Amino acid sequence: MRKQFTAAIALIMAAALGGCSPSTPAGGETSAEAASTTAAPAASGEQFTLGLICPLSGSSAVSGQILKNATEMAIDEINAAGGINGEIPIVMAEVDDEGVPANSVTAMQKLVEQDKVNAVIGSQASSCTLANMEITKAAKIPQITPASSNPAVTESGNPFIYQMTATDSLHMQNIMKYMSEEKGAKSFAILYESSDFGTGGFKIASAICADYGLTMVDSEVYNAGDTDFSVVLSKMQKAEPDFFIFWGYHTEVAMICKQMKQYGIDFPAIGQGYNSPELTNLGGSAVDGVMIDTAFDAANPDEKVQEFDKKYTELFGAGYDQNAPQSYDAVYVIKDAVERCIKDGKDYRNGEVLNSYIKSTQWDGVTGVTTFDENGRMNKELLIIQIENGEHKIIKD
Amino acid sequence: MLFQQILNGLTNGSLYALMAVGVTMVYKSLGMLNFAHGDIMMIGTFITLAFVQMGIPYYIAVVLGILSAAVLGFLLERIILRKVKFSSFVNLLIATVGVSYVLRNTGMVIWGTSPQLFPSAFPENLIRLGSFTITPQSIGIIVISLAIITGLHLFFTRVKVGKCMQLASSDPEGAAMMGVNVSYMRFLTFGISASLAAIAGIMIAPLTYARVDMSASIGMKAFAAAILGGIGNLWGALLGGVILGVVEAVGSAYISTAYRDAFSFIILFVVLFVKPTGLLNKKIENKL
Repeated sequence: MRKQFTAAIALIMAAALGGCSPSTPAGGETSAEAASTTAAPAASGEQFTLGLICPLSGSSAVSGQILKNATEMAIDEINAAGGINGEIPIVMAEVDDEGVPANSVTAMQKLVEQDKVNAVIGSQASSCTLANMEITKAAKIPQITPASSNPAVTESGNPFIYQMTATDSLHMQNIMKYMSEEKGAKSFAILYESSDFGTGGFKIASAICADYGLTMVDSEVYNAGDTDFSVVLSKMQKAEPDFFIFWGYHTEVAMICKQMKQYGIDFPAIGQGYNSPELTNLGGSAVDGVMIDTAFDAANPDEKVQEFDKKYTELFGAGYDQNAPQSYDAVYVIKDAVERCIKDGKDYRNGEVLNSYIKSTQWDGVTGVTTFDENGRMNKELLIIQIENGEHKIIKD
Repeated sequence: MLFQQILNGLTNGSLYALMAVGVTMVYKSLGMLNFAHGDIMMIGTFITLAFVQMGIPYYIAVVLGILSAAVLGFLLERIILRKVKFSSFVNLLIATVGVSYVLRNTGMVIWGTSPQLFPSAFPENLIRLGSFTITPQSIGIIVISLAIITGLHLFFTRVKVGKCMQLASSDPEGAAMMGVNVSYMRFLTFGISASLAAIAGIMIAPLTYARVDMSASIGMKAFAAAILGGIGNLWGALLGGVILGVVEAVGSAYISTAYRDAFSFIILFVVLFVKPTGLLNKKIENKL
């Protein structure tokens, strides 16, 4: 009895440990919410319908709300000034995709068929955007995602999709360019999380490091929730790199920095994924000197950034992420394209025409100058910030 | 490198051992695993943290935290387990799984899901022994765990209440006939087991932060350690914990850190295959 019992318990425990990742509830009951409008149509009846698709219920509702807040903020600003070109008000049609790919397709169909949108902003989750961008492609309507960072979004050859957020490869290129050109580094060791995000970063690093004259002298992996990094850190130290790259989230990175300090391991460290106020809360003085690559930071003294930060915080409170300024800029990118359309005497209501104008965007917004490559992926010089006494300081913009 | 890793492994190992002792005590007394053990650790840790944040001096907060965990253990026994105890082994097991979920989700509601800094009783500087390094926190963990387990051993073999607890768990009917209050002894067992969990949580939290999901890995390792050493055996729990800690540290140093958790369970399977009763337990023949 005892023998079978212990064996059975051991099996149960192994299964429990393997499958203990939290499940995401589907949440919500309806797939598409009623559209809401933020502005009345102009007297002439001409208006621009901008679709917004993002999760407003379910487990990613918080992220979706940030997208919506920033989009609304931009639309309200434009409408307050009379609308696009001073004459065409923007009407927002919003749908909730719950962060579920299947629902996001139905929601997108509603935007396209019922609301007859001229352009779409969204979605948030890459899996949703990958699913629903097929609908806008078939309907020939331009779609800008301000949040989905999976490279597959713009690698599928869909001419109507734009990715207005930095992909991980853009982050890695930026990091390597900075470290090799400005810091004269020749070698690095990378420490990454064993998730899709982390291993993706590692694959990009190994593929492109030679282009920047860098050698990867060590690569180490950890699991989310790990607490002892002494082994990986001492291996990385022994490899004697010029700098460390971290590709993970703030909880572990804060702990890694603490242990580096404790063991007296001192290397410049840079990376992505851990840009959160929690980093300095958890890491304290140990995270001083750590560098982060990011598309947006509220510490940027740039006038536009400060204005955006002030306005957003006043309207919706603190606690937004980079998706907020990116959504905000996305609205202005569309406004700019429509205005250039009108100036050239073209019909912006034709999706293909509007699309060609978005492709040639050169918009200087809150997140810097946005341009798109031939696949619709954002090209941008990203920021590098360094933590100094618990504060963000921009060291490259 | 090897010695350094063994040293690191001993730190985690003594914590696993401390948790495993609690698991093993409950197993002996009720014949089942308490799946809520790790979550009692989490609650004890967070209550301590709440006391510290209220401005109560650290050591008093620690004592209050441990006492709160003990009360939680008492309540668990009295309110839930006593009700289902006589139905079946499986019902008891499921009841503790249920308690585990309730505790964890209550923790999430009260304290949120993000990790929180936990103050340490030990200085942060590093102690160098030749080419090896160890933190005062690690030394503290190893010494305190060993002291507690030795103390428990003495309690069970020398002190009358301890002896009664031993008797009540190994032969409840016989003990009852000799005038031992068996249900009171079970009650006590749960209280002590829960306090041990809280102590382990308070010692590990400065290294790993206090987090609501801290039971997920440490709780599982505690079961593994208890079974590895021979469930129901105090010294087995210690041995099992230390072996797991060292195997994990050495395995992740020489093979890969990605498989850290896997090493514990691989060694568990190997031991159970060779010696199904665990390392220190003798095979018990059915006496009838």
